[in-house]
Amino acid sequence: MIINECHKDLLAELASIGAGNAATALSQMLQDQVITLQVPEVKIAPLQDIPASLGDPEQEVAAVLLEASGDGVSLTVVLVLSLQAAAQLITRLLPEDCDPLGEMGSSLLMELGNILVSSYLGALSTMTGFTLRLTPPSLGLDMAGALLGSVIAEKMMLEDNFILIKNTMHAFNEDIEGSLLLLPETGSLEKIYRQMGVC
Amino acid sequence: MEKTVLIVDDTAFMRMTLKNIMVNNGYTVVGEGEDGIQAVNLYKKLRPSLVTMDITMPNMDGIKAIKEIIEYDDQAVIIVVSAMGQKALVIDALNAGAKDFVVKPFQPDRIAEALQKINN
Repeated sequence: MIINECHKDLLAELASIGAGNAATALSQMLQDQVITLQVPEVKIAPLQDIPASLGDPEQEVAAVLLEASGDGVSLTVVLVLSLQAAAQLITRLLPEDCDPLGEMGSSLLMELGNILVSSYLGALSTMTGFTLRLTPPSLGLDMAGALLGSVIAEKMMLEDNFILIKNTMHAFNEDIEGSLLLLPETGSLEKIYRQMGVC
Repeated sequence: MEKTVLIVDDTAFMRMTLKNIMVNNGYTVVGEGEDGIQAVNLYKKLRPSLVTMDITMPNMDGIKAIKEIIEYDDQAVIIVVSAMGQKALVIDALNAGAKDFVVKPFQPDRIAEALQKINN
């Protein structure tokens, strides 16, 4: 489908509310640590651009993938964190007696992905009235290009474009950067827009 | 009487977090499950006084597991602990027989409040 300015505005609003919800969730996980948020950067790009969408395709990243579906809408959602951001969060959230590189560190990243993606889907659900259910998260650690390329290689029915939401949060005097990629299945975006009265 | 709990969540990190909170609130953790099928089987085997149940899990989700547990024992006490706080899902879980719904992330006080509610 062709994306116009109204569609972009709507996605920017969704990104803004979703990022606010995600920051609130992260703050709660960090014992009410104050987290400030930059306005999320929203980009819509052709699917073939996905491997290089986050910059250097050879950059090592941690990615949590979940599938959301319900009320005729299906999305693949990928939360991507640089290894530095993943390490920052693991260090802050994991008890000291746990190995950050062990099972508990991986488990924490998956739970974090589940909670943060749910924050965005909560915004989408509130805005559309749709009820979206998630699959359990899966975690990948690899180069960004390889990881994201493999995601689209496995999908047959995606829209021609994907949505990239880049977030920068600030906590503990550090920037924590994370990106959310939304890959809607064919027809899903149109259904969301129609539901919200944007055509 | 000893208060026992079965913790069901697909991530080890969340099970560890809940386990610590439960122990601090006087519960003995008698089992941990990673999906809905394990939840149902462990409930039948252990008959805990409380179950904490995630919704999004592999093999069988938490809502289906709640329905199966309640069908087996309509006195089962189940609290949902899930990141999926959408209204329709909360209603689904409560209709299935859950006594409370805690949205992740949570503060330990929120779990303590849910425990107080079920114990009253």
